[in-house]
Amino acid sequence: MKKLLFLTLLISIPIFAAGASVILTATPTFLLSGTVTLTMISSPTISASAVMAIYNSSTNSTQLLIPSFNGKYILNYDVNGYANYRAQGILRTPNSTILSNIATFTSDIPAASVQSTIVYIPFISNELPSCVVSVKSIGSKTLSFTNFSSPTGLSINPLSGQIPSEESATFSVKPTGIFIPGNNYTLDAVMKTNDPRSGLSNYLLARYILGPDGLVITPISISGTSFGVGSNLSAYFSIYYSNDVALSYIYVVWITPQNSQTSALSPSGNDFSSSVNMTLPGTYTLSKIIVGYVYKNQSLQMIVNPNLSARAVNIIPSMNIRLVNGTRQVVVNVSSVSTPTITVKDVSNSYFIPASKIGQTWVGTYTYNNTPGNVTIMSTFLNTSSVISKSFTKYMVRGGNITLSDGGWVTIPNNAFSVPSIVAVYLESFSPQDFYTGYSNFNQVSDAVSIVSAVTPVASFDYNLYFFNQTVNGLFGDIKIYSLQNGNWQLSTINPNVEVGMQMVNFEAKTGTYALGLTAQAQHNLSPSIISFWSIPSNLVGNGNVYFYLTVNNDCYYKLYVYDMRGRIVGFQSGMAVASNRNLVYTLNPSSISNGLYVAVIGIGNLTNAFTQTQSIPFAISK
Amino acid sequence: MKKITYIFILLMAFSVITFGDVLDELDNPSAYGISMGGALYTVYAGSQSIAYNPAGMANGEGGFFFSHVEHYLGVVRNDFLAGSLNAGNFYFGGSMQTTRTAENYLNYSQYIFSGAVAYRTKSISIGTDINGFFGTDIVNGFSMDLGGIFQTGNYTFAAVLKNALASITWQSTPPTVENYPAEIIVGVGYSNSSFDVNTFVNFTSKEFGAGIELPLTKFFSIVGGYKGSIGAQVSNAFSTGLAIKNYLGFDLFVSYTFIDSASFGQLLNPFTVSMNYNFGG
Repeated sequence: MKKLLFLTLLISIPIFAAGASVILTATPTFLLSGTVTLTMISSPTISASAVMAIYNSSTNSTQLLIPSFNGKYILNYDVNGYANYRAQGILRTPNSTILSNIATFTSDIPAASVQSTIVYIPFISNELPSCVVSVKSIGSKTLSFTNFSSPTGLSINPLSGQIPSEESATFSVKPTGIFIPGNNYTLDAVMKTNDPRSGLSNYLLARYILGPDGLVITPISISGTSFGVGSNLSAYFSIYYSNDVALSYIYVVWITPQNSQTSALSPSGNDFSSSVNMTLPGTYTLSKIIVGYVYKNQSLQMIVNPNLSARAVNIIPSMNIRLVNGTRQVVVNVSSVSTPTITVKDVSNSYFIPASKIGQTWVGTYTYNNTPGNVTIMSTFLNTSSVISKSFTKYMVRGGNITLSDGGWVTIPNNAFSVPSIVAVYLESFSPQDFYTGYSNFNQVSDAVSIVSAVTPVASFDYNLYFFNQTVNGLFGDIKIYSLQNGNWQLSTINPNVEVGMQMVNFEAKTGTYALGLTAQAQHNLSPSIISFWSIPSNLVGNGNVYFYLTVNNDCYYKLYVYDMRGRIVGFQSGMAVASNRNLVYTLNPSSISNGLYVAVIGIGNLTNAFTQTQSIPFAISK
Repeated sequence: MKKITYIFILLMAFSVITFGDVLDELDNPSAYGISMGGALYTVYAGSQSIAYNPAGMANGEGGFFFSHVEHYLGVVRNDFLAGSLNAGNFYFGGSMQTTRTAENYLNYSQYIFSGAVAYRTKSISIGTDINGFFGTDIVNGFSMDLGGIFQTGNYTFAAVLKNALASITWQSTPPTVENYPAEIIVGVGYSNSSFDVNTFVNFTSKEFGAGIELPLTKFFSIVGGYKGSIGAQVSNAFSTGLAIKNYLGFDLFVSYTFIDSASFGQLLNPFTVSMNYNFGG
């Protein structure tokens, strides 16, 4: 240590010898073990007394050498173990000038030992073998690595990470790229490390040599994952094979909800398809593709299991039309799993309406002409016989009453339009419900009426909409006007005038789409109470459903559980209930539960999850 | 023993040929059982074990048991009366259970009559019972339970085949017969001087439960339990209870249960009381 201090003091003296210098180099500077060549050269070539000092960090010692120096001195220094080294060469020139230089090298590095693998696959197929490669961290420092495929096509696991010193790790390598027979492929799985040694930072994990022979079935796809019953599900795939392969047969195996179907395809060409008609609801699976082939006079067979599935459901196609106020446009929405053909008969002329598909919905737009009369929009469907038709009527108004088709009417005042205008009137039918169900916030209790015009009216119309007493169930004060805004129903600020005896609501509004509805409006300052809670029937004998009704004194939220005698929940429903109404809060279908005694428990409150009152009723099922 | 094994395997196989949901019965009628989360299958609980695991009936000299349960805000009430008698290694027992509705809204009652026999050695006990069903809407019905308890060290293991061969003829037009799958129940218990833990899983009905009993004095214990089920809707019930055991030959159990307390502000199953008298004190 004293020697090192002495040397450090020596070199700390700033000495400048004009034109004389010494260079000390170490080769290599990073190594695990072996020999480092230390070369000390003076410039110009001079004879001098020299000292070479080598400091070893692991032993904390310095080795001093006093070589004879005639312009150049080479020392081969053996390195063992993990350490950092610092070498210093010092020359004293004849005129007592001291020259010095330093070189460092180290064996304290990360390094790897890799058992590389070469995998030779002369015949390419869908299933190519993987291999496992073992790597040991043989350096003194933790080995960091990132793996990659060169070129792409190999999957390596893990992709990146670290291996502590003296520990081992295994890597799996699998070909996952698309390899077309007839070609040769060479792919390397490479591990890039933090090994600082020159040319040793990248290690070869595995080399795959593929081809040129082979047979590959790829890509494999199906035409969709969700269909309506009656649709066709198709599978598409290609078979690539080398010249020395001849296809013998191709079978496609489908698994349907009922059975397994196998269809044979002609073994010619590269691209193939197979279809199955989805006659039943359920899951359809492309289970297997079986290819028979001859290779090197051997008859062989390849089986691929794509297991691609699609579901077929019973979907009844539906069509809605929406008249756009301020224009003469009508927007047609068709929900169907099969492709619709949309046509329109505008008074006496017929047209085709092009539609674009968005999800399972086809959307088309039609601009009706200026002639009064009926417009009928019709949708037919590929592979099905169903036809959906919706109509609206165009009126030429100069003031006066327009009589609607269900007996309702609207009066358009004389000053509403400055010039005679076309007004389109569309009524949406509805299914009367016995009771307000409470399952949704808005319960429509009348037809929805659309009265639109390309010309903005300057005066309001006088609307009359009709309801059934049964649907309102005495809640005449709760009837509200709802208007359709951008496809969504919104509570209107229009004040309705309810004519109870005539089962009619009168209100003033301009053009638009309106309907009557009921909404439960739970208010935080009102605490609801259960007036009655009961089931019909209380003892179900034979088939049927059990209906649960709730009457409350204020609009509220409810949550209902049905328990069996073991405390298991066999039914659940939450929603809103309207005050004073007989709210149908739940319908229990007992087909999947056992006969016996059950209890329905209902909780109500003015918040969705805070119930202030709970009541229970027993009921029995004997199917 | 081989014959019993064959019968057990046969009934297990029969349970695979299921017919839908399990029998809808009140299968946890004791305050002790309720406070233990239903995990009474590994416990030698005397005659009340007829409702859980008939092998557990083999305890002491036998005795009488009575329990009253009011479920779901009191609209369903259950009374359970059971008795057992020791004869050497054998125990014989019987029970009657009534389940009825408490309000005028529905006039309903159901009765289960059971006869049980158990055989116990030092570390193992096996038992069986047969059950007859009658009631307002039940013409007649039958089921059979088989169970065993095995004890080693501080551990107790139980296996029960419940409601094997269960079939009920229901009062419909015409009467309909409904068959039910046998339920496979497994229980594990651990006991030492400081606490007693018992668990069970019913693989058929997807119910499970666990309970712990902490003796505070020679006679007095506190009990806590959890019972849950996994299905279309998960239900859960936390229970607490008190147990006074073997005081002048009497046991008294009181339980307090919170069923789905996160959903409802009120307690659905607030209070249950059971009493047991052990012959021989």
